[in-house]
Amino acid sequence: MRGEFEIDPPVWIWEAKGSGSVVETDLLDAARRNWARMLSYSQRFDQDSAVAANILEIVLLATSRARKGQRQSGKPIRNLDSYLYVAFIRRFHRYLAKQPRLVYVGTDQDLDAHIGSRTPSTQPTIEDQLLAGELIQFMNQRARNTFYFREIAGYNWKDTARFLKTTVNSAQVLYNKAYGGVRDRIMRRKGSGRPGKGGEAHA
Amino acid sequence: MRNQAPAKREEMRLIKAYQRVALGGGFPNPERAGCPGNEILRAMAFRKLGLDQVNDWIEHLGTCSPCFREYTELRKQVVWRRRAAYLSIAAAVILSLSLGWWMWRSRPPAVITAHNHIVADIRSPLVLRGDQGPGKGPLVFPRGFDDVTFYFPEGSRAGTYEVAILRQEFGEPLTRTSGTATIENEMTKMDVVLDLSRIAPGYYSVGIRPLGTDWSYYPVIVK
Repeated sequence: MRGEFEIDPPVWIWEAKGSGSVVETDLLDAARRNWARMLSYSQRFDQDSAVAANILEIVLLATSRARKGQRQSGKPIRNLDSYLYVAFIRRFHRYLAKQPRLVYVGTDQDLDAHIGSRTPSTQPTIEDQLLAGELIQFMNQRARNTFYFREIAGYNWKDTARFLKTTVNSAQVLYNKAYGGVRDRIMRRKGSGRPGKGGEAHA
Repeated sequence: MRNQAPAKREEMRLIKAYQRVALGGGFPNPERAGCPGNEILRAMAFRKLGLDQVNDWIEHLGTCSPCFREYTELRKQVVWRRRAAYLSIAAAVILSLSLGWWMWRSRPPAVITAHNHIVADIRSPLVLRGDQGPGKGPLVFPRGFDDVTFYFPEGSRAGTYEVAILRQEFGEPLTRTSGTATIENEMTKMDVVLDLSRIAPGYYSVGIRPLGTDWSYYPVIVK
């Protein structure tokens, strides 16, 4: 499946995996469309494009399997691009969590820049970036969409309840439960100072 | 029992961190792969898109920095428009209230043509504070054409006096008249007719002076 992905990334995404099983064409198209996006994301964490390629490969195969199951359950993926991208981020942060927490800097200037990037400002810090990744990693799709709906799109609770097809009170309880769980999990990980065991199996 | 406050604080910190990341380009999309386009983002920002359609794009919005930036700008527009609308409404309300108040204030008072007979005793100096005996408060004139009999302070001379009603001391007289004071039984008294038919109810001063001298003022309530 891998080829000269560093030269022309979309070219290496082929239709067949190593075992010979076929990955659907629309999934491959989505992968090609979103490759630059995924690569940029992984580069923000100083990761090699080979890492991104490896993760995308795993994500493609997992998504292909998951789609078969979803077709049988009658719940198709609503937006394949987003689905694939989020699955990539989740898998990517699981990979990052297993890496040693060390930052290598080449020069004193790099070190200063790194320390400077941790000072509070309106710009995202490395810590923010990791937290955001962990949020995606630990939330299931429903919780994630609710989070985006409320905190990113800025809808009120009334609309959030309609979105979740429930009452306002229930929506608040569901949201707090899902989000509180993720928050606690992140805090526990931060407290333990060790890499976590990774997130959930499915995007 | 767990303390909820730090948890809530942490929750807000996570949300803010996510928003900073999304706004700060933490989810790059250089080729704008899978982006919904400005029309859909605008419809979402202005709450014109059905929730079912929102569901199709919400995950993308949360994981695409260029889209989130565009959406944030559009939401700012929404907030500004809403604020502008509220301000316009508030300004319109204040303007109409002011206009109404101004019209109410500037309307000509109803003309009262009743004839009243009033005795205005200004012999004793007025006591404006503290314990007041009967008849020591401001003079009270009913609106209309008032035949007023003034009893002047002791020692006042007989002769022609001017009488005027003024909004405030040293102001322009709203109505004025004159009469001749006479001395009867050692009291100086004068009968005049004051035209208070067009004067609005309120607090005024009545000014009295012998011709060519300074005014003496006394508070008066026109009812």
